[in-house]
Amino acid sequence: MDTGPVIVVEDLAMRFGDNVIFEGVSFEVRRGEIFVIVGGSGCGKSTLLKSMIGLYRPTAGRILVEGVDITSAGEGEMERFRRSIGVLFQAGALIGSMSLAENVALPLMEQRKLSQDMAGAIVRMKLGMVGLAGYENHLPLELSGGMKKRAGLARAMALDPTILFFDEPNTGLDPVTSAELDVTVRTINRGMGTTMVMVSHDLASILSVAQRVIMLDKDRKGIVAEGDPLDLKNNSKDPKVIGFFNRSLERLNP
Amino acid sequence: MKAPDRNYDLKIEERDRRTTISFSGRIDLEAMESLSAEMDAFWRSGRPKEIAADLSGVTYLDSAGALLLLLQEERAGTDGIPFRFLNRSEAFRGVMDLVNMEALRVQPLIPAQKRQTLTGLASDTATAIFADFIRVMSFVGELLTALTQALFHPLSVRWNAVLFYMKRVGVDGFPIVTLISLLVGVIIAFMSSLQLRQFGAVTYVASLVGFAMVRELAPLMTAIIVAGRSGSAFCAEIGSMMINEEVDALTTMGFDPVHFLAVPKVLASVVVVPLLTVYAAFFGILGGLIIGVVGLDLTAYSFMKQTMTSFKAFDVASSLVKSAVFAVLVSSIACQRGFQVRGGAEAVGAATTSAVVSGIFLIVVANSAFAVVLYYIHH
Repeated sequence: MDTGPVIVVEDLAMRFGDNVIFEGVSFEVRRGEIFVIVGGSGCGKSTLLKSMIGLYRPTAGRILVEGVDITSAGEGEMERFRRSIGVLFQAGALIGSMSLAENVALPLMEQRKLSQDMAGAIVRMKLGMVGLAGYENHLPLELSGGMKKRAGLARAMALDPTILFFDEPNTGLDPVTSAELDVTVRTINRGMGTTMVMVSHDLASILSVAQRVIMLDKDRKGIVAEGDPLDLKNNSKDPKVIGFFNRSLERLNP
Repeated sequence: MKAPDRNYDLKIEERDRRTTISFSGRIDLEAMESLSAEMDAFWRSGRPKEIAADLSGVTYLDSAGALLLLLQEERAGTDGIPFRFLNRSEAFRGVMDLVNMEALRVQPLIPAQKRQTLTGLASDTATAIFADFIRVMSFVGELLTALTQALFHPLSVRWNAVLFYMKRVGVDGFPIVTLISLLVGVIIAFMSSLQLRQFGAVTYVASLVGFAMVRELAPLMTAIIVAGRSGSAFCAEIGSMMINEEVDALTTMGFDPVHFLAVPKVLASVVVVPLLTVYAAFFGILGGLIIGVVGLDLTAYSFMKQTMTSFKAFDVASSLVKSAVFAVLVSSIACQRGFQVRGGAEAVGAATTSAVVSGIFLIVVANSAFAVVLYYIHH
């Protein structure tokens, strides 16, 4: 199986007016890995994720997904790119006027022409994968926050994308639901080999699912650490990294 | 048989009453429709004694493909036919394990939306109208209480909010109100001149325009435009605040949401809409003047003199009162609709539409009431 990098970020910079969010950001995401972007508030991790999915155009640098530079791609290439990814937004981003079944079926209807029965079977299967079997006729406003996130994940997975992006998937979930989501994420990653890119600051979840982590910092405006999360937690010498992974406020003497 | 536009292949062999189905190529979402049709044809063609599904030629299996294969296994099971997979790799087993066949059998907890019957629709509408009436009455009570409180404790009113809405409703609405009034003045003058010309009575165009604008059209049109501009804005603002739990936050901090959010809007509207009406009347008459001077060869002096005879101070006063009443109606119903919002984006949209439509409806009803009252005052 090809284990070369599926995403290559080269020298990425984001600036809004005079405000520099980050610059000189370069990293790779390998095929089939669970890759997590962490950092304190305001470090630009959500901005980074949104540029990786093609919502923001970066001020400088390139993002290559399967060899295609999505920062300068044409309509056709962007369409192919969007068909190959799934995104779970922070609050699920379900369309409020549609039932869960209609929401999960949206990517299916848009990208492929499927019969009602086929689409229905796939929708029920996806909802089953996230533990929402039976909820296909519910409206989003009838669901709790955790259920909305899981439904959003089912929709993101509808086309079995090669890359899944998650924007703070565990935020707002109770510990049990959060643990269940981690198990679901790992199961899908193992079963389908899906590459996963996540923004998170839920320590328990990061230590549970992440295979590799990069940490952004607001003051240094770039990547300050990269590697295995447990390794960073125990062996890093950088006070910000130690503080983040150990959830501590102690300021080490320089 | 491999068709050139297909990425998968299906070969069925039968030997010693044991059927082997060899799958090859990409068994995925794209293949699902036609593969499913081929399998249906297979099931219809006869009853095999034993089935083996050979996956050795499969290059790619996604969850849709896995679902399809498992559905065939299930179907064999219900017919009592032994079924097994051959050459199933670890990777494929992983994908197939993801599919929870139990979940597929779960019935939906609530049924899909049922179609409305006519009688159902009629009864739902009647109930909705009645319930709406109760809610509006309830809100009127709350608003009157809040306004009375504002009267006796003027310092408790958020005056900077009042000023903000005065700018939004009045200053920002000035261009469109005056533009439309100008246009209507032009239209009335022009249309009436076509009729009055026949009687050689073109000078009376001036009095017609003045009379119509001051007594009826300026208050009515201004109020309708304000309902569209500001009624929708007030409703959308409060509606979005409802969804964002901002109104809940105000309540828990001890503020009365009606006093905090609705009173400034209503007060601002009451002050500003009559002013806009004056401008509307002025620009409407100006529109008529332009037609009079340019198209009808009247002098500006004679036009204005004729206009001034067409209405009295009482008419101006009654129109200002009318517009103040319209302002209260429009802003109040808009706030009420806003407070009613529950849910999401669609609810805000529906409430905003309702705010504008109800506002216009109330204006028309009030206008008719005024017309009756003023008629009896005049006679």
